[in-house]
Order: sequence, then C-alpha cells, then structure tokens
Amino acid sequence: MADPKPEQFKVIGSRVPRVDAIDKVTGHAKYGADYNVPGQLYGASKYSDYPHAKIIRIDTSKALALDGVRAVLTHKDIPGEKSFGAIHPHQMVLCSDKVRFFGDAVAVVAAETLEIAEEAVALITVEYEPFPVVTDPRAALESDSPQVHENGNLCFHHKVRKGDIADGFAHSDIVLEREYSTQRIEHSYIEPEAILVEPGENGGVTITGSLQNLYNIRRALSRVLNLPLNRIRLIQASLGGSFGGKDEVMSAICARGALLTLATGRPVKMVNSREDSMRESYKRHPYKLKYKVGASTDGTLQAMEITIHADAGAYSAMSPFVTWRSVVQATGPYIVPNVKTDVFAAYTNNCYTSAMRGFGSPQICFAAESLMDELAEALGLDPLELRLKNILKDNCSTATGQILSHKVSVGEALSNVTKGIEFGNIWKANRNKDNRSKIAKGIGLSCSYRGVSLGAEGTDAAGVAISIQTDGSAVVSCGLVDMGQGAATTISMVVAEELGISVDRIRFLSADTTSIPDSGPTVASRTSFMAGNAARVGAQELMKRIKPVAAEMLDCPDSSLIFSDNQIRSTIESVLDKSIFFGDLAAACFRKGISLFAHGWYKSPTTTWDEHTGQGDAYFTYVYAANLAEVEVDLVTGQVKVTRFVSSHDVGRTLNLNGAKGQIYGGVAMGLGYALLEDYAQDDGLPSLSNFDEYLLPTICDIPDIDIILIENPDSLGPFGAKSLGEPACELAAPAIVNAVANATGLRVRDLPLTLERVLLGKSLVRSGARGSTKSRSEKH
Amino acid sequence: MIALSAYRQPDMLNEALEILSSGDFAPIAGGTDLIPQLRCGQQRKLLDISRLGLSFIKKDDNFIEIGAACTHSRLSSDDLIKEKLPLLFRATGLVGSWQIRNRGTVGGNIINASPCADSVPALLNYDAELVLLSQKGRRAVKLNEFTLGPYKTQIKPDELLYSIRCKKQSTPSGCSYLKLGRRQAVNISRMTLAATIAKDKNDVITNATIAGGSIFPAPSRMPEIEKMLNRQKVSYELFEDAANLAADLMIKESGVRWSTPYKKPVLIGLVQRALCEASGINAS
Amino acid sequence: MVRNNMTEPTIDIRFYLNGIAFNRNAPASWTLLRFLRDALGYTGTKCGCEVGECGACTVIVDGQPVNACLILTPQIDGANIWTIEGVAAAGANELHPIQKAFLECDAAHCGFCSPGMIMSTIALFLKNSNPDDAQIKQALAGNLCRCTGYIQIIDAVRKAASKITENDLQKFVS
Repeated sequence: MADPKPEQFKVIGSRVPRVDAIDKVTGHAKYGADYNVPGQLYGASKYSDYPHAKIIRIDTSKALALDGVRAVLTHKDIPGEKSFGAIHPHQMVLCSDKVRFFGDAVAVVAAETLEIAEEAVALITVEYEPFPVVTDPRAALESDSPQVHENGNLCFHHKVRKGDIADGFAHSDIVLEREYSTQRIEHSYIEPEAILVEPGENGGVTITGSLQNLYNIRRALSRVLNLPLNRIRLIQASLGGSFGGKDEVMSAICARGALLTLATGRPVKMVNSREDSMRESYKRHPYKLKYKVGASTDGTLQAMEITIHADAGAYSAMSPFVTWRSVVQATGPYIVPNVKTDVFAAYTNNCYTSAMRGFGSPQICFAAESLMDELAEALGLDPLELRLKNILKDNCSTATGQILSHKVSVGEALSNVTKGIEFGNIWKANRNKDNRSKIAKGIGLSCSYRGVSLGAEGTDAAGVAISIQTDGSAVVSCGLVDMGQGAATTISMVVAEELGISVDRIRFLSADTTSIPDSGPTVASRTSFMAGNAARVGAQELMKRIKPVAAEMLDCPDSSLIFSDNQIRSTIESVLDKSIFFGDLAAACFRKGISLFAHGWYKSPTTTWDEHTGQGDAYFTYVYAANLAEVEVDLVTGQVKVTRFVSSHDVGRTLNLNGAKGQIYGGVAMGLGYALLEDYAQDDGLPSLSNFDEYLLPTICDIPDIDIILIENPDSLGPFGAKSLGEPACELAAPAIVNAVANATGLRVRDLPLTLERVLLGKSLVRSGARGSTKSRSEKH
Repeated sequence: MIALSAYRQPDMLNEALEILSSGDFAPIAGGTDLIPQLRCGQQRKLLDISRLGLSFIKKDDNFIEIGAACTHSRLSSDDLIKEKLPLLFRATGLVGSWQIRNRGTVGGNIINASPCADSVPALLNYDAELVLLSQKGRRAVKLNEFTLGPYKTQIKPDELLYSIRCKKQSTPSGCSYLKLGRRQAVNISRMTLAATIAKDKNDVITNATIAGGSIFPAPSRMPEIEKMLNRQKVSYELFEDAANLAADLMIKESGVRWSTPYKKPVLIGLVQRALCEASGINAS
Repeated sequence: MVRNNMTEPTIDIRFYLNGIAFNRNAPASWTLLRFLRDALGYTGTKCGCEVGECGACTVIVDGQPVNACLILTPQIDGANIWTIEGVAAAGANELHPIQKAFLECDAAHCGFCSPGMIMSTIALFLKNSNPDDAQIKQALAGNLCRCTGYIQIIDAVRKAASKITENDLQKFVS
C-alpha cells in the first residue's frame, strides 16, 4: 500500500483522546463485575489445599444441604472434556485424580448469595494424599523428580544453533560465565477476573466479562461443555487491564461458570477476590539463565552459549510460545557468529505461567544486558562502547540466521538515550569508590531487538469490519480487543485516516464472538500492526466503491478527489468551491444499492523456522529500543530510587502520539516493579502472599521523570509504516535499572528483584525453618 | 466476606463500657486494620467507638492528651502536635496512604500491636501512657509495658483504650524519625527509628531518647543507648558507638536470625543517621 | 468460614450520596464499597483488593478521600459521600474539569483506577487547588495504576489544577 507523506496525514500521528475515555472518566464504563441481572446466582470455587496431591474423595453433601445452594459441581458434572489448553489441552477445569498447584479448583458452587456460596465452599471436604512437590524447573527435569504430568516434566525444549561455539570460545581472549535468575510476577491488572454467565438460546451460554482472548476461551468452552462454537457467545466487557493475563485463567473461570448456568438454568456471576486472583491466575515465568560469552580483547563478541530453564508451573498454557520468543532473542541485539541456545520449559507444582507483556523477553533482556555490562567491566570498556561495537546493523544476520533487510536502529536508539551526556565518563566516575557518599549515584543502559507479532509461532491473520452508516458515521469492530492499551482508538484512527472522516464519527464496538470473525489473540503487540493493516484493507475496499459516486456528484475524475474532515472536495479548478458532506455521499451510495459494509482481512508475511537447528526468518520484521536509567542508592539501607529515565523506541510510525507515550510510560513502570519490587514468592508451592499489601506495585512516588524519544523508520509492511510498541516498552527498564544499581554500588545483583538485602549484601536471605508437611527436595537458592 | 453477629454504635462512654463488659465485643474505630482481618476471620461482634468523642487533642501544663480515635491525618496536620510532639507528627504523616491516614487511628495502631506500627516508636520517646477504661474503672499503663509482643498487648477484653498521654518536652530538642521501606511511599515499615536529642550550649547532650520498631519483638526504647549518650558531647564517633550498641542489643534480645546479616548493618547505619539528624550534625 | 447463624445485623442509616439524601436499612457487615455497588447500583466505584491497598474504591466522605472497602455501612450514618457518578453536574452533558483533563492527557488507559484517581484528585484540590508535583504524588500514592506509569495522570492533575475554580469544588464539601 502506498503511504501518504507524514505531513499529509490527517489523523495519524496526532494526539487523539481515547474513544472510550468519556465512559472511563465518568464511571459509566461497565467492567465484568458491573454486570448484574435479576435472578443471578453467585459462583465460588473450591481450591486445592495442597500444591500436589492425589484426590481420594470429594464430599459435597454438606454444601448441597445448605439452604440457598443451587448447585455444587465437580469433574463428574463436566459433559465434555475435563481439560483444555491451546497447545497442550491438559489444564483441568475441576480436578479429578490429582491437584497440581495450589490454585487448582476441585469443585464449584452456585448459591443465592455470595455469603452462602462462600459458606458452601467451606463445607466441601476433600480428602487428599499429599505428593512430594517439585518447584525448581531444573530439578523437575531430573529423572527422580516428582512427576507433575504423566508424560514427564519437560514442557518444551527450543534450540538455536549457529556456527561453532567451541571454535568461537577458542578464538576468544576472554570468556565469562554467569548465572541469572528472574522471579515469578503477577500481571496485577487492577480489575480482578469477573464474568456474568447467562443462559443463551438453543441451550447455549452467553458470557460477558473480563476476557482478553475471546476465541481461545470459546474453543476451551466448546470442548468442555460439548457445545458447538456458535452456541457460545462471549462478549468483552470493558477490561480493567490484562497484560496477557486474562486468557487461560478466564477459560477456567468461564467453564466453571457455564457449567453452573447449564446445571441451574440461572445466570451466574463469578467475581474473583484479589486473593483468588493471585491464587489461580497464571504468572510471568521465573527463569534460571546460564550465559557463557566469549569475546576478543577489543570487545568483539565471538560466541555465546545459553541454557535457560523456565518454570512453566502446573500447566503448559502458552509456555512453548513464550519460551520460543526467548530462544530467538536470547543473545540480545548483537552480532554473535557462534551461538548455542537451549531453552527448557519444565512443569512444577508452582502456579502455572503463561503470557505476560513481554512474553519471554523481559527475562532474557535482563540476563543478556546484565552480561554485557559485566563483560564491559571485565574488559575495561564502558558499556556503551561495548554495545556499539557489537550491535546489529542493516543487513546483519541474527542468531537465527535471519538477514535484517529493514532499517536496523538499535544504534540510533542507544545514541538517543545517551544524547547530551558523556555516558562513559559518568559511568566511570560513579564506579570510583572515592566519589561515593552514603547516597551513591548510578547510570545504566539496556537495548533490545524484538520480533513483531507472532512470527513462526503460528498463523497470523486478523480482520476488521467497517460499516459506514447513511449519515456518514461508521461502526468499526474487530476480534482484537482493547484492554486498556488503546486498540479501539488506534484502529478507529486508521479507519478515519483512510475514509477522511473524524475519529469522533466512529463507534468502535467491543468484541463479540457471534458478530466478528476470529482474529487470533490480542497478544505479541500485534494489534496495531495486524488490525491496522486489516482496517486499511477494509477501508480501501469501501473507498473503491464510494469514490465513483463522489466523482459523479462533484463531476470530476476519481483521482482528483480529496476526502478530509468529513467532506469530499476535488482538486479540479472548475469545482474547487464545491464540496460534499461524507454523510450525503454515504446516503447516495445507499440509494444506489452500494454496500457500505466491508470486512478487511490481513495475513502477515510468511516466516520460517527449523525446529532442529533453530534457524530461520523467525519474525517478518523487528523493532529496536534502548533505555537509560539513573538511580540513587542508599548505601546504608539498600534503598534504590530511580531518578531519571530515558526511553527510545523505533515504532516504525507513530499512530497515536498519546497512546505511544502512554505505552512507554506504563511499560517503564512495569519494568521498574520487575527490577525492584515485585515477587510472587512461593515456598514449596505455597504462595507466601496473597494481596497488594505484600505484593508491591510501584506507586506514583516511585516513578521518575521519563523522557521519550520516538524513532520513526517506517516499515514497508506496517500500517502507515507502524510496527509495535506495547511489549518492547516493558522489557528494557529492569536491566537498565539493575545496571545502574551495579554502577552505583559496585556490587552486581544477578537475581531479580533487587530487594533491600540483595542491593546491600549482593544476596538474598532465606527465612529458615521448614513449612508444613509438603516439604520436598526442592532446591533452595 | 465479613460475618458479624452484632454491631453496636453507642453515643455514651458508659454504654460502651457496659457492652464491652460482656467480653466478646471488639472495638472498631477506623477499621483499617480490623476490616481486612474480619474478611477472613470468624464471625464477630463489633463495638463502634466513633461516637464517643474520642477524637480530641487536649493539653494541660504537663501533658498532651490524645483521644484514641484521633486519625493519623488529624495528628499529622495538627499544629500543637507539630510543635510539641514532632515525632508523632512525622510518624503519623508516613502511615500508609492518605486514604488510610484519614481512617486509621492512633489508638488502633497501638492496639493492633504490629511490630512495625509507625506511631509507637514516636510515642515511646514521649514516655506515652495509655488510659484504659472499663466498668471496673480506669487504669494507666506505660506504653512501653503495654505491648507484649507481635500483635499482643495487655489490654483486657472489657477494656477500652481511651487516650494516650504524652509528657510535654521540658527542653527544646532536635528529633529524627526514620522509616525504612521498599517503596518511595505507602510502605509497611521494615524498620523505624525515632530519636530526640536535647543539648546545651556546649553541644553536650542533656537528654537523649531513642526508640525503634521492627528491631525487638515489640517497639521499644533503648535505655542503654540513652545512658551512653547523656552528658556526652555530640560527636560522630559517639553515635557510632551508640549504633554498635544498638546492634548488640538487637542481637541480645532477638538472637541471630535469618535477617540479621541485613538488619545489623542497617540498624547501625540508621541509628547513626537518626542521632546525627536529631543533633543537627552532618551524617556523612 | 462457617457462621454460627445466618441472622446478620442490619442498621438504619441516613446519608447524602452525591448530594441526594438517602435513608436505608443496611447490613452492618457490608462495606461501603459493596453497599454502593450491590445495594445502590453505583458501580462506578471499583473493587480491586478489599484491603485498602489499591485505591480503586476511593470515595470522598465528609471532604476526605477514603477507601470504601474499609468502611462498614454503620460508619457512614450521617455522612456526606461523593462518588465518581456525582462528579459531572447531573443532567448536564459536560464533564467536570478534572474529568476533562484526564481525558485530554490520556490519563485513563484501562480506566479501572480512574474513578479512584479522580476522587483523590478532587480531595487534593479541596485541600490545595494549586499543588506542586510532590503534593500531587503524595495525594495519589494510595491509588495504584498498572497501565499508565502515572505520568499522564500527573499531567492531568496539573492541567486540571490550572483550570479548576472554586465553583467546581464547592459541591463536594457542602
């Protein structure tokens, strides 16, 4: 598609208020828990008492006898398959033979009030035989480990093989080996999971609620309920944040709610408390990462050997895809001639892990970028110097052997974030212990490359439906959803740009599985790119139909028409003073019997992947970014304050300036929490916290001023050149902060998060004393 | 879900004490600690003390008396508190969030007896005394004897915490309140230190007080340190010795625990910092 | 938890909600949050944690911001309560200047924290209508947001402060 020049854009690149903002600032926006219907019952789940145990017997009789209880269901009441999952369909809706993690459910209750439902749950008794627990992904792969699933604990193994690492290390002047680890974190959407299930026509169900990937969830429900897809209607309520988090957990909750509705014939409302949410919702994978790097004295990288163990927890969910992104990007954005990477995802009895904003990149960015700083220190180079020597450039080959044929801008991003400061000198001055007071300053860098959209993970296509109304307004809908990231606004802007109407003339509908085709999941920062392209296809199809009518009305050639500000004009001299209102054109088209509805469909370019060698064109294009953090560390207490932050991203083309900045601010804040605060700690499979009193999110006082420098290298494939931003914004803050802290203290912390103890002592302290009867041989570190 | 079997909201103190005499009512003031506990606890009976006029701040010649139901917001914005009990002024200003400070009360903070209760180390510096009422009468208990351990106090089921009495400082002094937490705001304290130092013209300490939270099983004064400081000339070295003594006291009282490798150096550093700040000398 | 009996105490309460007088019998064990949402149908106030940590349920009670999840219904007897539904003038098709600033600065992403953020902002302005950045941050520290990184929220509060008049705030204390 030929793009107009940026200065000709009417809407693209400007600051547009969100199309759904009015409802959000007035309290009118309806989220899952805000839906109520007369006669609704309240559902509640009975969770497991153990992280790993055999179920001997479930006794629901006392619960059933309680006044006001309308149903108590177990696995026996499931009409279809008892488990679901997009990759490995083994996630239990209600456990039958055993429980695999503390958030597994064994029974579900519907009652007239929430109080009765909760009391009934307390009256269900389950007899268990506790099994040994495995909680470490490395230990899980040993032959004598407790088995989480029948076919062993290996969930997936990905490889990348490039060149010959033995040769590469032999030709290195320096070889460093380092181990890093990252923690399990919670998405922490402020809205806990919530749905309202209603009986649908023809024996089906309609579910309204906090759903991120409606079509995945619908497939799970179809399998479990034994209903055809078309009898299951899922409607997305306003979503109070998701970040990848409201997918599999919603399949489980929706399945339980739907079972209750089908059993009682009544609407059922299911709303998780924060404690329930933390207990059963999946998390970001904890990783254990071993990096070995070889380089020449001048800093040129020769080889990298990387072994990563990801904790998949009790179920596969998206682990194979998450870890695939890790294997592709594990080296960081550097030219490395010899690479051997292995990523193993292993089942454990921890909370299961799946998609979370970043999707396997925050872990490897932390490790690779920490490693680059460690290598710089070892070589006596400054971290910027070392990076600039090795970063990917135009037409380079990546670790997977992909030649980057687009503009590679990681160098530009690095120079942007260090503009106006003498990075190397500041970094060296901070390292000088004589300069340190009790409050030490530090500065740190990080950079990345990231594949856009799903890549070789799977089919990548999306659709957008546009229906022009006879008054010239338009209704737009899409199977990719707005979960707070602003997709509704961005897609509306693309349609507005193409049709020459204003954004306020567009109404964006929330997703509804009965009226919009499956567009795949809203993940992988693919929405702007995929739906943006689909919206252009649809809008251009409509323009093809309506342009001749406009030309006829203005008595001028098609090619002279300008659609802008809801008006149509011509560049032909004789009709310069004439214009048509877009609404009048739409009405005229309608009278002529021209269809004003179009469905644009876009399929991404093909990618390739050889599973055995880990070589191929993994993604059709990449984005590049760099972050810089400045910190102050209290050397008495280990407290870290981030004082300044700079973030530069190549977005291809900025679609909505407000939205782009918001994604970066939010991504940096999430990365700051990852670096310093957040840890969903589990001890022998039992969570040691359950709410925001102990799971610490960054507050408004923790966030520094953030400078943003956007780079626009339009991509030939993206809508108006746009690529992606949501996830790249989140993957680089932690390593920049960690590197800055190491610069300040002279002490390298290789485990996230940087607790007070780790910053001060370089290690974390383990609370002594065993807990409970499920004690296992799990490794303490 | 919260389960209650009774909720009483009397207007008169006598009535409140009568209700409490049954021994099975829990007083509720702001509820910021109690309500989260009720969510996962057993069915309870509550006595709402918000209508008993316990939100007063009074002064006489020797004492300032604070009603148990004074909120943290009230205390952290009151001029008398700012002038006469500046440690309490600062401590209550650092409790939780603004929303929490608007509801949470100083009485609740004391009764809940969390090892990290923010207001307690501040009050300990002022030799605070608690006034407890019951149908049997009134008794006064020193705050430093009231808290027995984590979440344990010597209040009886029929007693109501009525007020907190603090001795007015006779001589002007400098003070320091340090709260250690992981975030830049809304922290559960990992450690707190509150200290006052009065000194004469020659920089000789005439009166030093210091108390800490999350150092000992209950927030406590450190009389050994005060003794070491009194009648000594202010110096960085003196404070270094005092800080090392604090660490010794902590280990003596609490033993060497998993957290000691962190808490020991931090306590030493923070005691130095607090004493430096309270005496007006440069900490670095 | 299992109860001893199912008879929960209720209590007659009178209060003002967004300027309207209410007279209700309420279960004493219900929090103000649940009462607003489930009994009165005011769902603009959000439930995020129920332990006073996230601030999504922030409402203004007698001029002060509080967590509606940490107040029981008997405690609002006689109180003057404002929620997000009452912020824009009733019937007028116009946003309050604070809401307008949140919209213009893109301070509402997923929007779940927005009602609480806006109520805290109103409370801040009732105390100080010309706050500096540190005061803005202190006032909003009890409101968690996972989307925005807070920067656009600070922008919005600054912008609102520059536009706000006494008239815009009067009703929240009356």
